[in-house]
Amino acid sequence: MSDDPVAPARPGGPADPWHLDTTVLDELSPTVRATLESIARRAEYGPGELVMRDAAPTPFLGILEAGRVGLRLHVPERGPQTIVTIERGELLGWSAVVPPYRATSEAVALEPTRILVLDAEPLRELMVRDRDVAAELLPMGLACVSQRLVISWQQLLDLFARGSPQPW
Amino acid sequence: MVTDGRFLPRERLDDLVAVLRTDGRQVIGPVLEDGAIRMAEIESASDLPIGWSTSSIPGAVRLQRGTPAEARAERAFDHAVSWSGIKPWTYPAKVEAITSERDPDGSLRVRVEAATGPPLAVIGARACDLAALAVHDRVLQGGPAIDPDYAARRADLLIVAVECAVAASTCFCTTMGTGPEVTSGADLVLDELDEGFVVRADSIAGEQIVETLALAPAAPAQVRRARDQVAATRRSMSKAVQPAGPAFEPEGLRDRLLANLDHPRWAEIAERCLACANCTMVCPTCFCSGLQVSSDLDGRTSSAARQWDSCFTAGFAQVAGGSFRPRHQDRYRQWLSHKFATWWDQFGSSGCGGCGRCIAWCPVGIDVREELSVIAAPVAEPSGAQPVAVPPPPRHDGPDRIGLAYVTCLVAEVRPETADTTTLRIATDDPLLLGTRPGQFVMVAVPAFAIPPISISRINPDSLELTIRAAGPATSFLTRLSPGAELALRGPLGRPWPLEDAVGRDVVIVAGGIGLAPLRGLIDALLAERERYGAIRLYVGARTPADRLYVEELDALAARDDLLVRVTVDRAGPEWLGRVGIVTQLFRSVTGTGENVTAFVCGPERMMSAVVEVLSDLKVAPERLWLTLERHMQCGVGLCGHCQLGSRFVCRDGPVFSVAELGADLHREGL
Repeated sequence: MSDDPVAPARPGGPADPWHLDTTVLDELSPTVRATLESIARRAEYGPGELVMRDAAPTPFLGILEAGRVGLRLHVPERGPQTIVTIERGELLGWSAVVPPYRATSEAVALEPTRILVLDAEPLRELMVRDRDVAAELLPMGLACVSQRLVISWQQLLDLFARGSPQPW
Repeated sequence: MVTDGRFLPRERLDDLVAVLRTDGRQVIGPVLEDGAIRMAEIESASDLPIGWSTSSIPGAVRLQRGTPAEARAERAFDHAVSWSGIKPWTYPAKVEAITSERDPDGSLRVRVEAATGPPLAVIGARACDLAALAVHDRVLQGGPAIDPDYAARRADLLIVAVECAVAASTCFCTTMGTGPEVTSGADLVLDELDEGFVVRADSIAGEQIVETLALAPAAPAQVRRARDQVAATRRSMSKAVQPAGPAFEPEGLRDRLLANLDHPRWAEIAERCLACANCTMVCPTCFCSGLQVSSDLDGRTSSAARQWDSCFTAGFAQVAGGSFRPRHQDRYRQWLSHKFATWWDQFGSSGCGGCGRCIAWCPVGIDVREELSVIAAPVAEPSGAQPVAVPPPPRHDGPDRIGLAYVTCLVAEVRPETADTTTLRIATDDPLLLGTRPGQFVMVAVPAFAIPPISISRINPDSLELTIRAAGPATSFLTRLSPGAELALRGPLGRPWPLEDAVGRDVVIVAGGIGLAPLRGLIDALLAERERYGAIRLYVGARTPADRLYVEELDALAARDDLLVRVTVDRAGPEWLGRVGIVTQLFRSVTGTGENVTAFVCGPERMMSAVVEVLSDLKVAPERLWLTLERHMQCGVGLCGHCQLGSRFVCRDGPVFSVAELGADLHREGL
């Protein structure tokens, strides 16, 4: 089946009820969502296009509306390594609202990608002015950080790697 | 009881040994050897340890010789249990189990061996020895698989038992309900008095011996003295066996022990325990074994010897990802909880006969009675854990009998999957093998290599497919085979995926790494009757893009419109445009409920734990969340003991289990 999450599970059937078409925005209250959308803009990136630069000031907090973005780190002699990919509905650029406001990896579009962009400085100013926005956005950002942390731990364990020599 | 109360004068003991030796029977009895008493071959009564007795305390056994003036000085069985018991004769430490040969034309024959030596007679077995033998009968020939070597040795075993006239401080047969009286399992029973033996026959064979010896009835006073003697032994044990501290109470011990698997005492014991395995070597019921393969130089002939192994050794629970019981406390807990708790679930009895050898021969004097009285105390103990009834695990309807034979098959096709993983298509016309169901596995034998368990990744009308990752010498060899090569398979083994549980329901399949192999046959079966199932969703994780299995097949599945396929890798270079991240990430966008889902999961255990958490959060019922576990398997049929997980033999009772069946054992460290 097509990998589009809203594709039907069976021919002619309804949308797959397992993978629904939601984004992190759906978790926000209508007021906060409307406030955020009032300062948002959309940006599009082609495959291979750089979205964020590692260690540079994070330009925005984004919500992917379509496509896929790879978060990469450069390793000497091994080149860029993709650590995790982000897809529709997920947050990109949590470091836009967490000091020191610098990206912790490079972000590259892996396919045609559309992002709902909340530019970093206006967003931070908004969060200072509007505590409701801050109160809803920060837990969301923290959940994203936590998720990436768990992924990193699991990758660190290298679960699929060989351990000690097998008896056979 | 067939014949009661005959008398064998002491000077005629040798006649009894001579009768036992007729028909070429090998007679085993207690002898002095290396400063201790062990059971060994005897030729006459003079080989017995006449005049010797023993004393035991935790960590020490001493031989003692009475003075010639003492009335008991001529007794032959005036000692407590021998260190070896009779296990080395009925279940030897090392026997040839499997031989592999290549004929001059190159064809392969793999044979399962059984004992062919002379029949045995044992004289001097004690009540605890007989209790242990009954335990081994249940373990090794109670089915579904039968150890052919044990069965052959046991078939014609003649037993002359002796009721104990003395007990050591380490003996606790009275507590375990196995002695000192001999109530079953012997052909003849002797009670040794100063002047001779009161003899009773407990079988037809025993009665024939009595008739051959033409024994006269014992005097009533002799019979009475014999009974008084064993009664005195019983009384001495009730006074002496309990170490200081809380009482060791066998009633309800299983439940109390299983309720205290996290007791802090396990870690304290590990500070003293050397993991030397002495306790398991002297234990008359420990049956765990391993296969030791040796080969001639050209690799044409090899044999696999079944030899005693111990759950205390570091490699006992070793698999490709490491050991499931890396700490001493894990191994001690496995031994003690198996012996006194999970043995009940597996074989319907305790695994302990109360002989006390594990106490006497422990170099640091660990006393199981004391440890059990602390860990599984009859009342609430320091852990605060309340004794709770722990139900035995559910059993699946496996076959009544599992055959051990190996079937020679031909490698028909070799298909490399990744740098270290290869799929072999094995041609066979064996109806049993072709009747394999998805999720089952085979043991794969080739000369000169250990015999690995390999899951069956596809079942064709005329062949099976095995996907093998080169993780050790044997699997490396198998992945380098060429078409036309021969190998031998034992199987199909284990519990299959319960396909019927998914009928009319949505199906979620989650695979990690080589874990996709045992799921491949399941996917085939689901798609063969696609209309019987709801939505089918397949989630696959691999270490890197290059480590993905069945790439073309997955692409073909992804192209279907009646199946959702999502693949992720743990790490990737810039050339990979697919998903990167762990398998559980694939469920991030799931907002639906899993109430109508049956899930099948296979991969590294840590990955499966994470997947179970995610799917449980989505309300997939634990009864419908199925995993296949990896454990160290040496026989594949529940005889070698390596793959135990709590009360389960993963090879025989699994490898497929539901999360509900595994319960807390799924996440318990070191089990």
